[in-house]
Amino acid sequence: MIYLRLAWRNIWRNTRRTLITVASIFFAVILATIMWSMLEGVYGKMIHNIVAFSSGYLQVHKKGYWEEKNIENVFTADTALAKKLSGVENITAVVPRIENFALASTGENTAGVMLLGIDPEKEDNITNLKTKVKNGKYLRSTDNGVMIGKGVARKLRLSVGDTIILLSQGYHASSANGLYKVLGIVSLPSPELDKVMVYMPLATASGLLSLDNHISSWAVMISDAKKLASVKKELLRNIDPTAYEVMDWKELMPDLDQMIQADGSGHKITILVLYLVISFGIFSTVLMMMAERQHEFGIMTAIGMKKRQLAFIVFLETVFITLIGVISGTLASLPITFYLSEHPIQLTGEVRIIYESYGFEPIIAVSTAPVVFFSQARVVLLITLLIGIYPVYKILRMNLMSALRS
Amino acid sequence: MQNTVIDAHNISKVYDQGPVAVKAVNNVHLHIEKGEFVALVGPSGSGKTTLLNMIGGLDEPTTGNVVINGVDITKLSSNELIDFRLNNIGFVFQSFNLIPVLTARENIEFIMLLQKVGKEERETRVLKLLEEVGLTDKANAKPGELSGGQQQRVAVARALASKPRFVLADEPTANLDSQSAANLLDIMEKLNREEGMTFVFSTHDQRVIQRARRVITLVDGEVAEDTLQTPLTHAG
Repeated sequence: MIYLRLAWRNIWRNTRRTLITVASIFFAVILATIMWSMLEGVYGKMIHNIVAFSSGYLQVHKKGYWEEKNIENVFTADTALAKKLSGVENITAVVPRIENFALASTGENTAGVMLLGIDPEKEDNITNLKTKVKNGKYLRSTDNGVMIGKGVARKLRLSVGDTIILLSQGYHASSANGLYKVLGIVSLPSPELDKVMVYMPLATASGLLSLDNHISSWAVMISDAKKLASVKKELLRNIDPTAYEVMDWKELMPDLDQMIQADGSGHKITILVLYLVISFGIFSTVLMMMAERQHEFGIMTAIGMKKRQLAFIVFLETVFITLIGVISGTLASLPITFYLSEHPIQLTGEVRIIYESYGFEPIIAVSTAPVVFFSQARVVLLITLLIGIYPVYKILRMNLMSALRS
Repeated sequence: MQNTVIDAHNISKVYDQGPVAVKAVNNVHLHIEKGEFVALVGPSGSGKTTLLNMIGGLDEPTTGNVVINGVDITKLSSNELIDFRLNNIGFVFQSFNLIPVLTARENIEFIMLLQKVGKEERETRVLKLLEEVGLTDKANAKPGELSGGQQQRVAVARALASKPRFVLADEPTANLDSQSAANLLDIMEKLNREEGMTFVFSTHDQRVIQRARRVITLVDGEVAEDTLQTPLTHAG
């Protein structure tokens, strides 16, 4: 208790210096937390937008499908297997999908599209696709029509109620073509997907492509993107690896992963600079305090305080200053982060175009996941522990007479 | 032998200052008995403080050994020495050197906390010591709120808090006015007379020298004179 009392009172001996140090930690924590929450938010959103609306976080295919991605590499939709996979921890949904490229035409205009056969209800549960319907209605599993992206509609000059011609290659080289009514137009968060997606009920897609009960993939959604690796491992344990392959979104979309890695590195360097600011702030305080109090340390050792006890008090002082800065900085960053999460910054101008060209929603999303706040507190505390080693080392090596004479 | 508190044999302290070795203390023998009131005197640079530091276990003699209560402290490790100082020696420094963030009461109690003395005993002893040094009403004042004399009285109380075998005081009155110095000496003299506490001072101060019962004069690091004297009586 005396250690805590001494350490707490010692930090207020030089109130101005303590406040300056606390302030440097405070602002650095706010900036680092907001930056980190933006990084997590932007990439999390980016991954979710693209992954949820296209590949899913993981996909189960017939072995060899990814190498040779054609309609022949489909597999029987084994509902027992789907049920088994749904039971794996952190998996929120396993949805059947039929994917194939198709040529869409209205007679006057033609465009390449991604034909996605879905189970409308299950798909809506994981992507809230229904909420993206801007015109017309959401698909039902019995519909013999399609729902198209806003970009597709614009390109092909289609409206709800118009007819679209789809041409593709069906199973076992059968010819696949048909006329479908546009039942709905969706506005997808990824403009890139918005320009190519054509949704149709699974049964309709199966009929078009003569797939009978075959599908291209089970798209797997998970509750926490950070659990990707462990879920994948668990999935692999639950399937026959000679018949199926499991791929995560990083393998399915390596370009996206690389882009995120490259873009994230720049931001991480900025955060690293903030950590350095924090480190120097704390370290300079420790240095000044050590220089000023040499004589006092000597006296305390002379009257019977062990060096390790003294070092512990000085270490506690560093911890106190850091905790004040970290806690106040984290608390102050909470309302800012939550506000930005509710009201994300909309990108404009060229940046917006760049984001859209990558297929990202042009906003700066912010993550309010607890890990964002805890990770900053953890890093700063770790820095403190490292800096705290310096006074401990100096005190343990202190020469009593030199300290008394100083 | 039972009454011997400090026994220093042939102690010397040599400082290497470039090519020249400076002998601060040269082959000193010192024997101090329980209950003595000793003043180490001499001009500046005569080695008073160095000798005091060595018998207090703060500095290591280059040669010779210091035996306190039968323990050769020159053979103790750094940590053992800290423990030894805590439990056997009380220190009073020239510039008071109280812990600035603790009150007078807490400064005195601090030593006992290091000794792991129980709360009840700590409180009793703190009150008694504050009373002995006449600062009961200043128990909750921090050092910055006390005069130099009051701070030095707290320092004496702190030195006595651990129930040491003797108290070493390095120029205890150097920064005090006459009245404060006289008060401090009265307190120390009373503790010496009534409780048999051994005091060893280094000093230039004639007021202290006059009241010491034994005066050891150092010149150039050697004992030039060791005399017993009857202290003058002061009204305080």
